[in-house]
This record gives sequence, structure tokens and C-alpha cells, in this order.
Amino acid sequence: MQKRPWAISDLIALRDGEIRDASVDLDDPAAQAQLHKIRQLTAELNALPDVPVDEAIWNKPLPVKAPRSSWLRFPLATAASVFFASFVGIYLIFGTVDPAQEPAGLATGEQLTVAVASRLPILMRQSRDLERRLQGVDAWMFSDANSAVARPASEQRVATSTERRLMYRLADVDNQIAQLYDADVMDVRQREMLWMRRVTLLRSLVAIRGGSDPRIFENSRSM
Amino acid sequence: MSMAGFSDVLLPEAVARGVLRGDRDSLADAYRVLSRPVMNMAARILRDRPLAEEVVQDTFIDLVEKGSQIQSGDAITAWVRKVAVNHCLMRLRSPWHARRMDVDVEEALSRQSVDESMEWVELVPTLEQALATLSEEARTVVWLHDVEGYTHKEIGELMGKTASFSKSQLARAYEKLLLWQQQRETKQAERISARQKIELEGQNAKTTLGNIGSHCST
Repeated sequence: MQKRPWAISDLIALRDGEIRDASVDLDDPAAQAQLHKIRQLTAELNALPDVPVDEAIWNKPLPVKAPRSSWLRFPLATAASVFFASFVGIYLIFGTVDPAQEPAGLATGEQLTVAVASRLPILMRQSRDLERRLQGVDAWMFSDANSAVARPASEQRVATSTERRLMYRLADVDNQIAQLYDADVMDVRQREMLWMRRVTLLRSLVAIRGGSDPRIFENSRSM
Repeated sequence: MSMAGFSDVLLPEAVARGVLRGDRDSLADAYRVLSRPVMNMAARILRDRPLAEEVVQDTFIDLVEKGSQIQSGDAITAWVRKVAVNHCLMRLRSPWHARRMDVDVEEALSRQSVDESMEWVELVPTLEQALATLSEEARTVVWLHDVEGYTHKEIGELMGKTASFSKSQLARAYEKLLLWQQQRETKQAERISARQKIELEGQNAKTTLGNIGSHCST
């Protein structure tokens, strides 16, 4: 049988005791020398010096794994929520039309529900804007004397009886709206009616208070 | 002092029990014992000290967090070794690491002088440098097989390859390392003969001077 020459892989396998092949020439001096060199290299690898370890690695504070946010745990639900919120937001800001510009023949049956539903956000917006204007007036008219925007004491005033009456009625409307939201079945027509009343009351308040401030009065009329 | 491998270290029984309980002092003791082989392996495979330190830290964070899940005290060293190997392989596989290594190679090539052949003859690299010239896969196989004692089958499984892949990588690595060894021996032989030549010349000069001296005195 012709014996084949040694390959390095054979010598490594021989070193590791993985082969005991009679076909390889164990008496070959070149193979023996190569095997010796391989063993020498392995010994050198195992005799390499230690790489020093910094004790400070252990003393470093262990990073605390932050619990994964529930938003990240359900990415699809999060994306859907964001989309829905964006849609509602855009609708509230841009997707409404002025009631004055709406066609008159929408007030029956199913169309009425659509009309009411579409009117509510407008009424809410108007209500919010009027409230902001009123707050602006109040801050200016009833601010303390130390404020930089305070009017002279002679110009400061307290709420008149008409204003107070309007505010009580407004509080009453707010209470009814709150009760309506708490109810199991929400009546959209009633909601619209209450919100319209609220806007009317706020406009009246702005009109009264704006009497002493022409800017406010002009703003409320332009709405 | 020779390098500590995982087979060279022994975790005291009390420390092992403490690690299983999650005792902080025992974990610190385990770090003192086991961090050296982890560091040695990570530094040699990754060829990057900060990355190797990261591996040490991550390995021991895993020990702190999951040490209580280890079945027995005897299994701690093997568990730590396996976790450390996985951390090394994860870093080698990361695209960021591959890109960084490409940059390193380019920088090294740009630094080479014009007469490369002469430099290679003059500067015989150390074994560490010879290891660095191997591919990452070959270096990992050499280390895991020849130093840590993994079998080719285990290495194949760890690296997502076959046992044959591990065997061929080891053989190719040894071809290169044997070449390096031969060059080192040649260089050493040259140095020895050069030194002998200098010594011989020195002896000859002394003899000549002695002869001149005796001739002058007569």
C-alpha cells in the first residue's frame, strides 16, 4: 500500500489523538519535524502572557436595564393610536367648516346626526376661543397692581351683576354638559344644544366685558 | 507567568455556592478568578482591548443577572466561558466591527513602506502579531480549539458552521503560523551566526594584538 504524505490537518488530528491511520507514514522524518513544530506552536500559544484586567471593570456600576415601554411592546397598537389621534387632531383643526356656510337642508334624519356631529367640534372650538379671550380680558382688567400690564386703579373694575348672572348660567350649562358626558347614552342633539348655549353665553360675556376694551369687542364680532 | 485559561483556574466551592445564591461578595471573588481567562480569550480573539473589556463586563453582568440559574457550582466556569465566547462572536459578527476592521487594514496597508520584502525579513513579528495576521474566523478557531479545548463540532455549532469548517480553518491558520515560525527560526539562526562571527573576530583580534605585544616586547 502506497503511503500518502502528511497534510497539516492530518498532523493536527494526530496531535489531538483524533486519527490513528496506518496509511500515513509515521516514520517520515519531515512529518515528525512538522508535528514537533505544531506542538511547539500550541505550547507557545498556551504560554502567552496574561492580558491585565482592570479591577475597575467590576467596580463600574452595573447598567440597569430599563423596563421596556408598553408603547414599544405593541408597536402596531401604538402606530394605530398615533394615527387615530393625528386624524382627530387634524379634523378638529382643519376639517370643520363654519356653521354659517353650511347648507340649510341638513337638518333631517340621518343627515341631522351628521350635521350635529360635524357642528360639535366647531362649537367646542368657538367656546375655547371665547374662553381664551375672556381670560385675556380678565388677566388684563383684574390683574394686581404690581403687574407690568396692570391698568391704573381708576380703571380697575369688578364684575357687574349682569356678568355674574351670565357666569352662573354658564356654570349651570357646564354642569349639564358634564352630566351628559357621564350618562350611558349620549344624546348628540342635546349636546349640541348645550354647547350652542355655552357659546352664546360666552359671546355675551365677551360683548359686555369687551365694552371697556374695544379690541375684544371687535374680535368677538368677527367670529 | 504563563497565561491563565479557563482550565487553569479553579473556583473555590464556597465562592461557587455564593454565586449561585447571588451573593455580591462571592460574585466579586468569582470576577477576580474568572476575569483573567475571559480577558485573555477576548483580547486574543478580538484584538481590541476596549472591546475585550466590554466582553468582560457583559459576561459578568450576565453572571450577576443569571448566575442563580446555573445548575451547579461546577458548571459556573463552563457557563462563564460559553457566555464570554458568545459575546466575542457577537462582536465579530457585528457590521460595525467588520467596517472598523476594514479601516484598520487599510490604515495598516497605507503605512507600509515601499520595500515590503525587506521589512518582512528585518521585522519578524511576535506570535501575537502573527495571530493578528490571521482572519478573525481562523484566529477564533485556533484559540477555541488549541487553548480553550473546544472540539471542532462545538466550534462549528458556536460559529454556525460545520466541524469541517473549523478543521480547515485550523489547518490554514497553522500553515501561516508554521511559516512565521520558520522565518523566526531563520532570523534567530542568522543572529546567532552573526554573534558567533563577531565573537570569533574579537578573539582573532585579541590573538593578533597579543602576538603584536609579545613581538614588541621581544
